[in-house]
Amino acid sequence: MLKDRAQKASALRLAVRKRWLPQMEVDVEPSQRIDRTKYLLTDIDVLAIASSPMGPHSKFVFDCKSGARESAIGRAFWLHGVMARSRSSRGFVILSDRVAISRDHRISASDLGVTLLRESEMEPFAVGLDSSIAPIDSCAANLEAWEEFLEIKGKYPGFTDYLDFSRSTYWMTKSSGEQCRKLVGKLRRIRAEIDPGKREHLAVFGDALCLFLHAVSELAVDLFLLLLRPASREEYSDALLAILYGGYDNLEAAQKIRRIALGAEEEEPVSIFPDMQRFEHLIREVLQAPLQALPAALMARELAFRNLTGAPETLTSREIASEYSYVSKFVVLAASYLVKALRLPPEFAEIYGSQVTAIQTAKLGSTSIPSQG
Amino acid sequence: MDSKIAAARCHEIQLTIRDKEVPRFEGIPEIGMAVQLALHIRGLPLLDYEKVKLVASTMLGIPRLSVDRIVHLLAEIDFVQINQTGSRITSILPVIPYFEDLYAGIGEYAKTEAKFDEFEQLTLQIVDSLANSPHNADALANTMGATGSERKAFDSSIEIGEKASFLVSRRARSKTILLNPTYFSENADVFADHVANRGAKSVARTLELVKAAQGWPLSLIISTGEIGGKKIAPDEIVLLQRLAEDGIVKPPTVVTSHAGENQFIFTPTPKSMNISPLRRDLYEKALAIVSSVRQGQLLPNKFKIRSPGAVLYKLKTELQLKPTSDYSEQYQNLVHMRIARLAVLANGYRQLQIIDTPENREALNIAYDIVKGASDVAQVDNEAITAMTGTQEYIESIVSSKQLRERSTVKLADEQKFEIEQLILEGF
Repeated sequence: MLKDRAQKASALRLAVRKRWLPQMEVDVEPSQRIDRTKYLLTDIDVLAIASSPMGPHSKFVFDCKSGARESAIGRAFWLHGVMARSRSSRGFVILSDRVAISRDHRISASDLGVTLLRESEMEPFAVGLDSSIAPIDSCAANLEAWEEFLEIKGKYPGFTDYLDFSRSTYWMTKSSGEQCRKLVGKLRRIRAEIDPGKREHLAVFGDALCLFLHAVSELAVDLFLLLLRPASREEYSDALLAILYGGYDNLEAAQKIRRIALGAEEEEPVSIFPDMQRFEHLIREVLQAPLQALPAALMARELAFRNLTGAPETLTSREIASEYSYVSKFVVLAASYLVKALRLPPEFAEIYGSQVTAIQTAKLGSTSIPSQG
Repeated sequence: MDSKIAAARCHEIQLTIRDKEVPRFEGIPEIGMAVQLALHIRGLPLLDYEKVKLVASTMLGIPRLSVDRIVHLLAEIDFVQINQTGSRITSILPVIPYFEDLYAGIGEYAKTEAKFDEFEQLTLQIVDSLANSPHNADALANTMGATGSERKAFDSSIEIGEKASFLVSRRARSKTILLNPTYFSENADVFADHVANRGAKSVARTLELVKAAQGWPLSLIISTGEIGGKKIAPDEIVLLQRLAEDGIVKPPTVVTSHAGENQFIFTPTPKSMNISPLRRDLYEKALAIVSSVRQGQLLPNKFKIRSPGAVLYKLKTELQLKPTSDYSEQYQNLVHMRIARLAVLANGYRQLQIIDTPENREALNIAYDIVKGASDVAQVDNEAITAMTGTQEYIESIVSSKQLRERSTVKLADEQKFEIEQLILEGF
C-alpha cells in the first residue's frame, strides 16, 4: 500500500489535467555502478514530464510527505539533489498543513528550483496553473491502478527485469535514443512470456507503449532540430540511427559487431535495429506533429490501466483525443511497430489500436456538422 | 505406433543427431542408420564395401564402427546380400524394396526384435505427435498420460531431444511449446505463438488442408473461406495470414496486371530441402514453378489451366508449353530465377521454354511432386550415391570437399543470434 496517498493523488490529478505524463514511484539509480549489487539511492513519489515548445521535455518531481514533523527546507535540499540526478527542472514538496513553512525557507527553496507547498495550497496552486486537483475520470490518475500495476512484478517474476527498467533505469537514461533502443531491447527480451490473454500482461505492453511514445516524442524533436528538411532518404536514415546509438562512433561499433556475428562482408549493409523501415516511417509520421506524441504516451497509459483494471472508457481519454488529433494515429503506429518488429502476439496491437480508434472516431463524429432533417 | 512410421521417425531423429552419441539411445540410431543406408544404396549394383564404409562414415552420418552392424541388420531382413572373405565383408549387393516397403521392412524388424526400450518408445511417440503440429509441452504430457512420476521421463526425453536437436522448445505467451524441427524449422515463432494461443489442432488441421492443395493463393483462401474446395475456419486463415505477413520465410508472390499481387501458400519447407543451399535453391525454384501454374489455374487472365499436373508433366517431358498471347506475366518469376525463358515468336506470341539444366529438371520434378501431393521423398544425398559407385579418386575428392564445406559454414544458433542482437540493442 502506498504511503502519503492523498498528496500523491493530488499530484497525479494535477499532472494528468495538465497533460503531463506522470510516473509514480520512480527508483533513483546511482549514476554509475561500482558495486556488483545495485544500491538504489532513493525514490521519486511522482515524476511528471511536460512537453516544451522546443527542445527536450521538462521534468518535474513531486515529493509527498504527510508527517507533521518534516523539515520543509530539509526536504528542499534533498529534492534539489534528486532533481540534479534525474535532470528535472522543477521540484515540488507537498507537506501536511500541520507543518509550518517560513517565508525565508520558501524563498531559499525557490532559489534551488523547489516550491514548498502545504496540502491546502495545492488547489490554489493548480488554479494558478490554469488547472485543478479536483477528482477526475482518468485511469492514469487513479492511485489504485498504479498500485495494482506496481504489484505485477511480485506476481510475474519473468517481468522483473523489464519492470525494474521501466520504473527506474529508463527515467535515469540521458538520451532519448538510448531510452528508445534499450526499451525495445527489454520488451524484446520478454516477447515469449507476454500473453495478451492476461490483463496484467496487456498492461505491461501498454506501459512499454507509453514509454516508447515518450522516447519517440523526444527523439523526433531531436531529429527535427537536426534535419529540418532531410535531402535524401539515406541522410534521414543515417541521422536516425546515429541518434539511436548515441553518435556515429557507437553506430559503427554496433555495425561491426553485427557483421562479425553474421560473417558479413565489410561493406555489406546490416540491420542493427528491428524493422528499421517501419521505425523510420513511424518517426517520419511523428515529425508531422512532434508535440502530439507526448499526449499519445499519456493516452497509452490511460489505456494500459483501463485494460489492467477493466475500467470503462474514461472522460480524460476522450478529452485527449479531441485536443490532439494525431494521438490515435501515433498510438496505432507505435503499437503496430512494437508488435511487428519484436514479433509479439498481434492481439496487443489489435486491442490498443481498436480502443484508441474507437475513442477518436467517436470524437470525430461529435465534432462533425449535424446533418439536416 | 505403426512400425513403418516408427522407422521413419527413427530416420528423422538420426538425420539430426548424425554421429553424435546419445547415451540413452540404442534402437533409434540403429534403425535410423539402417533406413539412411538403405535409402542411399537402393537400386545400386554390387558395391565395394570399403567405398560404402567411407561414404557412410563421411557423408551419411554413420560412424565407421557401426557400418558392419547396420549392414548385418539389412542382411537379416534380406535387404542386402553380403559377400565376405573370412569374417571381412568385401562387397554388398543391395536388394532394397521400393516405396514404403523399405520403411515397412525395417519397421517390422524393429518391432519383432523389440529394438526400442520404454524410454525410446516414449521419445518416438513425442516426435511423432510433433510431426503434424507443434504442441504445448504440458498439454502433450497430459494427452500422453505422462503425469506424476511419468512426467520425469517425458521431461528428460525432451531435454535429450533439445540437446541432440531433434526437438526444439520455444516460449510463447508464457507457455513452453515443443516443435519438431524436421517439419517446423522455418517460421517457428509464428507456429509456436499460434499453438500457444489456439492449440495444436488448429495448426495440424490447417497444414492438412494446405498439403492437399499446395500453392493455393492466399487472397482466394480469404475471399472464399475455402482451400482446394474444402472449408477452412477463420482461426486457421489467421495462421496463414500471419505466416505470410510475419514469417521470416515468405511465401512466393506472383504479380500480374489482371490479378495484382498474390501470395501462394505452401506447407513449411521440409528439412531435407534445407540440408544444403543447393537443395534449398531447388526447392525455391519448385515453389516458384507451382505458384506460376496455380496462378494460371486459379487467377487466370484469358485462358485457364485446367490441370496443373498435366501442365507440369508437359514441362517436365517437353521442356516447353504451347505459345500463347496470354501467359507471359504469370511466368515472369521463372525468367528472373533463370528457370525458363519467354521466347518471342514471329506472330508476337510468347513461348515458355525451360532452360535445360539438371537443376531445372530436378526443380520441375519436385514441383510435380508438390502438386500431386506426394510426401517428401527426396531425403537422399545424391552425391553420396554417386560416390559409392564412382572411382576411388572421385570419392576422395568429394569427401575432402565435403569436409572443407562443413568446416567453412559455422552458423550462429538462434539463441546466440538473439543474444548478440540484444547486446547491440541494450549494450551501447
